[in-house]
Amino acid sequence: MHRQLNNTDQPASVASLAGSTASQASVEIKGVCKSYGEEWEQQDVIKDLTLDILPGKLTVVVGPSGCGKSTLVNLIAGFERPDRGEILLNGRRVTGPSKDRMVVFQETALIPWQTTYQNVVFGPKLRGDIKGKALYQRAHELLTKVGLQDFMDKYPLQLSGGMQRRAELARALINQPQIMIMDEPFRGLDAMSRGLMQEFFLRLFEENRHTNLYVTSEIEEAIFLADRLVVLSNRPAQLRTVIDIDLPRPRHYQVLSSPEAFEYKRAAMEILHQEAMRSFRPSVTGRLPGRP
Amino acid sequence: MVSVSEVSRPIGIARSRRSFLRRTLGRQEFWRGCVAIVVFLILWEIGSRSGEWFGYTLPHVGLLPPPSDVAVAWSKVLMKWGYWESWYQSFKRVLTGFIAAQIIGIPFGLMLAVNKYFRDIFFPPFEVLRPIPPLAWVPASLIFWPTNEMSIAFVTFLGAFFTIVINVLGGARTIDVRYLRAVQSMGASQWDLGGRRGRRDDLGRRHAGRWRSRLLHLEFVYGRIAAANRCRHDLDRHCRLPFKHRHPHDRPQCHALAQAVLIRKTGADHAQAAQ
Repeated sequence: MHRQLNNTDQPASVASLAGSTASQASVEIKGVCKSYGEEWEQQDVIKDLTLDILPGKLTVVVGPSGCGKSTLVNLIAGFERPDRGEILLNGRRVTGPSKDRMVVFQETALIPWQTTYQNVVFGPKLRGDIKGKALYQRAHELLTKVGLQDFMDKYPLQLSGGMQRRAELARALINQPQIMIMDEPFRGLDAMSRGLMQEFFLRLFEENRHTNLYVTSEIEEAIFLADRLVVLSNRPAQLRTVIDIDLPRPRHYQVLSSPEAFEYKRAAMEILHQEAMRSFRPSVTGRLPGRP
Repeated sequence: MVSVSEVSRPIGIARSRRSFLRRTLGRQEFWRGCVAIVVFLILWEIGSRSGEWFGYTLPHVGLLPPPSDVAVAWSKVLMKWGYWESWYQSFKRVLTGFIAAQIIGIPFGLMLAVNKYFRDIFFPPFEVLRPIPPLAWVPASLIFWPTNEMSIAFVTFLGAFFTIVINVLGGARTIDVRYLRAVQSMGASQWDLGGRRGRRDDLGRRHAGRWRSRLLHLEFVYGRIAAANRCRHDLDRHCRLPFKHRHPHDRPQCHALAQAVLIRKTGADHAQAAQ
């Protein structure tokens, strides 16, 4: 499987494909708070979160399930606005969605009634910034790099899960984002496909060093991919710690069996376990609501 | 070792290439339907002729002419010009009403779906009028319109309008938020999505080629509606979505909408090919 990927899916020299304006963006998250619900039953999801996403780094966010990771993605992408605090992209305040911040969603968001090609060119066509042959050429190059050149005319439902994710990566890259935001992009894939996709994605990243925010709930995936590992607390999400992952690049899956990776995993697991236990505490202690 | 591409064999390709007639004749449900119609006609014939055959006239059914008599009478009028003239006139009335319902109903439904303010203002009166059956509008339509033809077309319009609006509204409202967010992050503005009025800076940035994005957006919404309503025949032929992903229910009201999408889609494809 690994050999198949290596032979056929040569990683993109995406820097050239995605254009020179892309990459090296930094994001500052300053004291961001977000809560949902009516005033009398508000639930804090993110509380005083301050975090820097460094340019050219792959920052991976992990946290317990339901801690507010996807909310953080929505805030950075501009789909939602923080109640307090601010998010800055290259020093400019984020006020709404923009092509500078491309999001790859948990489940595929390819438009089902459009072919792979039509999906990939949707953004440039929408904005009208690349046209005609140049657009076709760029889309074709990107689709070739992600190994989907023979599937340009297929609809998303006719692609496997892994192919859909690669098509989504191509669709994101053609828009030349300053930061790629990936919200558990390989969730729902089987273990083998997920491993392949992680390696594939990592090679894309290492070629091009886009600023990247990757959200996941799996520690191994996080350590395998990350330059910086951000561990969030249980809800409301706060910054617990940032671990710099100093594993050599280019990385292969074997790196996860190294003592260093094991040590990173242990450290992150310890924090995450504490946070996860916080949400289970009432049931663990066996206390019933309303009883002393 | 199996590659990813080998695992994902396109689903649509494996479908049978038999002709529509052969496929239809090979289906059990087709023959069950035929038998049901024949049994219905036999029961109708027996019921209508019950007095003649059994000496006891069945209530209600016994008063109807039997289907055999209807067929004989029909064969006599087939050659008359007036009969076909009636067909033509009926078609004209129904099509006029139906097309008018689509022209008004589809944009109205879309606006209800994508604009909160529009929905807040127009949906309550729409819901007040919707339960009124079209026939109850007949007296009012006679007053509203100067000719009988227009009154009939109006009643037909009402019969189709509410159904079309509800269909379009339902389809557009089921657009997954992921798709909307995906196109937003690709540069579609709130205006493109037909949502709240665009901000001042958005309006300032709009350029001459913006109509193109608007068309794309319409394609997006129409396509989603068509998919949501499972317009099986048209989409199956043109978009080649795999059959197994369709819902068995087919809504004919939506076919015209699907065709609008396909016309737009075909036009866009030709334009792209020309480029």
